[in-house]
Amino acid sequence: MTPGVHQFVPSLAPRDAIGAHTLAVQALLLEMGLRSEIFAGEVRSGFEGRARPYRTYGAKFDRAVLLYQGSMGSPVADYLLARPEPKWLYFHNITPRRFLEAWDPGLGMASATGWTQLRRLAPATTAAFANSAYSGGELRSAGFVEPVILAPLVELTGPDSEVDGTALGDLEAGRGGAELLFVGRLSPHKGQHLLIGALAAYRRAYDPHARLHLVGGAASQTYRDSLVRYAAELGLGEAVRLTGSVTGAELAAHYRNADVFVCASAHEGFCVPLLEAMSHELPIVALGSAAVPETLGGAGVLLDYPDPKVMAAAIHRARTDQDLRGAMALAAKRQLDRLGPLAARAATTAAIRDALARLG
Amino acid sequence: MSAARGDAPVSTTGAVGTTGAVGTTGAVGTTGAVGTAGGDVPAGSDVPAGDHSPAAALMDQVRREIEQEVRRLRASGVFPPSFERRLEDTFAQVVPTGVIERETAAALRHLESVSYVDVEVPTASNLPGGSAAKQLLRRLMAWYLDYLAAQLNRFMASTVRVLHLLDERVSALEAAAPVELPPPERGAPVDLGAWADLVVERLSTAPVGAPRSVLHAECGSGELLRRLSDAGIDAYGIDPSADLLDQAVLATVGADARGVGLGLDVLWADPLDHLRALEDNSLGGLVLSGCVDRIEVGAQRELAALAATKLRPGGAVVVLGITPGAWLARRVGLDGPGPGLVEADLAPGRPLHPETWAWMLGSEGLSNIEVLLGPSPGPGSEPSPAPADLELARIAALLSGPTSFAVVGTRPAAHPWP
Repeated sequence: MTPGVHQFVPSLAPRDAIGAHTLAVQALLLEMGLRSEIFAGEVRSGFEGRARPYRTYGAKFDRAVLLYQGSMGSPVADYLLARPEPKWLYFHNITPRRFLEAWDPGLGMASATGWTQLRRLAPATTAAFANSAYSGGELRSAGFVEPVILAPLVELTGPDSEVDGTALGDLEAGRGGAELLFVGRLSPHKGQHLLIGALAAYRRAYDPHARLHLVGGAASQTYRDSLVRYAAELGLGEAVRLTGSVTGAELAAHYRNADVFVCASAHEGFCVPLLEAMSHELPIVALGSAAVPETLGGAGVLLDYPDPKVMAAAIHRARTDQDLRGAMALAAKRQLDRLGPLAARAATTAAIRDALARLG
Repeated sequence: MSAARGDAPVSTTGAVGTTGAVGTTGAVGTTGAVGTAGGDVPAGSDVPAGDHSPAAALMDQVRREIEQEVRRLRASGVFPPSFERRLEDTFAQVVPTGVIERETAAALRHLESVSYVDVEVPTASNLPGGSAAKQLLRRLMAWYLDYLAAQLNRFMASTVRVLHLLDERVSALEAAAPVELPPPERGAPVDLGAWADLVVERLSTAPVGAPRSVLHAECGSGELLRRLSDAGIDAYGIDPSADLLDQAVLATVGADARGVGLGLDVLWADPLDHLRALEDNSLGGLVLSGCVDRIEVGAQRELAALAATKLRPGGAVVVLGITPGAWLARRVGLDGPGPGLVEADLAPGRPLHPETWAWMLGSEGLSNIEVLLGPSPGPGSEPSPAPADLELARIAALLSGPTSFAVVGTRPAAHPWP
């Protein structure tokens, strides 16, 4: 029988980095001549038929390798732990509970559970992959030996991507000043509230007509509500645009419209939008937390701490200093060459072959 | 509130990443970032620690210039301390209860880790066919168990959250409750002007290093800070009162013809928080006043320890405090009107004797400790006392001794411990 590598994922959802990575890995596995199916804890609307309920795997008994796309806690991990097949893990990182629990106790618990499951998976896993050196360090702390670092295998929204003309037209019609952009779920650890503070400082010092576009669905509705109130209380209700989840073409329109990509995340396992911003040649200002420095790789202004005044000054500098923009563009090209889809695909292929060979 | 000053290095501990606090400003923990996870850098994952490439040098230069730009904007009044306070206060108003609070206890962490129902019941069996039967049973019951487990997990998550909140409230009650003193009481009772010459003299030889490396906490409206700046000492100040800091900036905007930094460089920050966030060996000099008289003993000891670790070798700390005797005199109302009584009653801590500060600084490894006593209370120290009060004040001076003191310590060039 042809060898198989089947993937298990807590949730397969459109416009989600883990979902996109899982589908891309499946395509690669099939190209490598391996059998590969996806089993998910839940399959969100839009991806029906792309995965099967994870509990249906038990009927196969085909002795394949089971590759877990791990992040927050999930019953899928418990299911895998009870399976006898060889197991691999690709670690997308776990948002620390401390960022979540006060806003959403359920999310905080999912984080704590994720770490518990990770430690249980360590001795049961024959190969472990992490999306960054930072995440690799966390795997080691959970007991994994020699995790292999592989950038996530996702197609980037780039300058050649289809652009939603209507969305772009609306964005351009509303322009009055600088357009700041962040892409990511609305969640406390992503620090969108810090970006609103930075916008307030930027408008005060440099550009009273600047706007901030926060693209992404709400991981925490409580946090989203607080962001809306925060912006309104600061008199920025019209200047802060919360788009919710958008299509790929709408996302491309936002990248096309933006002047500066800003990121105040306190925790990122990788941060794919940084690469997308690089591909659009956007100047980037980001907080140097978790894996952000290694993903950014000099392609943006990295800040040590989230001071809205410093971030505002950095945004101004990144937008107006042509020499700096040139240096960032060069670094961005290097990062895209090293971490982009082509490089990630080659590295992932080699890693899978190596892991299979070690299985014998 | 600012956790660290713009151009001061920020340590990687005690910040957002480790406490979980979600403020609008503050340091972010970078533990585990590039260079700390081992040598397994992925293809393309670079910017290693200690990168000395021209690109890295350019970025360092840009960051320094951004910090200078922020200082310029602060000093010129574009970013007054009250702006930052407004950001924080507004955010605090819109977040759910419990968000801006401290981290929970380790015992609760453990409780959380075990408060989870795993529905994957083990199916191993010693009986022939037993394992298959268990697996079948588990599959048949999965819909039922999943439903129950989801409810239980939600319930337990909420219960743990309630325990967290209770723990925090109990902890708050156990601690000496910090009191938010009314603005007239919050400043240092020490006459900073009387000590300015000494402070300038002791700090004028601050070791070179990071620019503007002398810190005054709490600087209030900036009187001593202005004296330091006039003496050519590169200094900045912090204070938890944004109103006082706004006065400090507004009073000096446009007054300095030297071009850079039209006003005083001040930050809205709590002294302990700010010092904790600073990188070790980052200050050339440190002046502590105001806070030293009213914070708890544990916090006073921490201040001494922070002074020792944040000063560069050769750097000096000057503690300006009010004597316990003067504090008692204020308490009975002999050397000042009513407001002193409020502070004496409500402050979470009490002034220490200068000898105690000297001992604490010495025990933290500082050397060349000096204790200097200030003027005794008496005529001239308070505005026009009535004759009867004057006599009482003289009696108080005899009983309580000097009003204020300065304790100076220097960090040795070589670490004193083996």
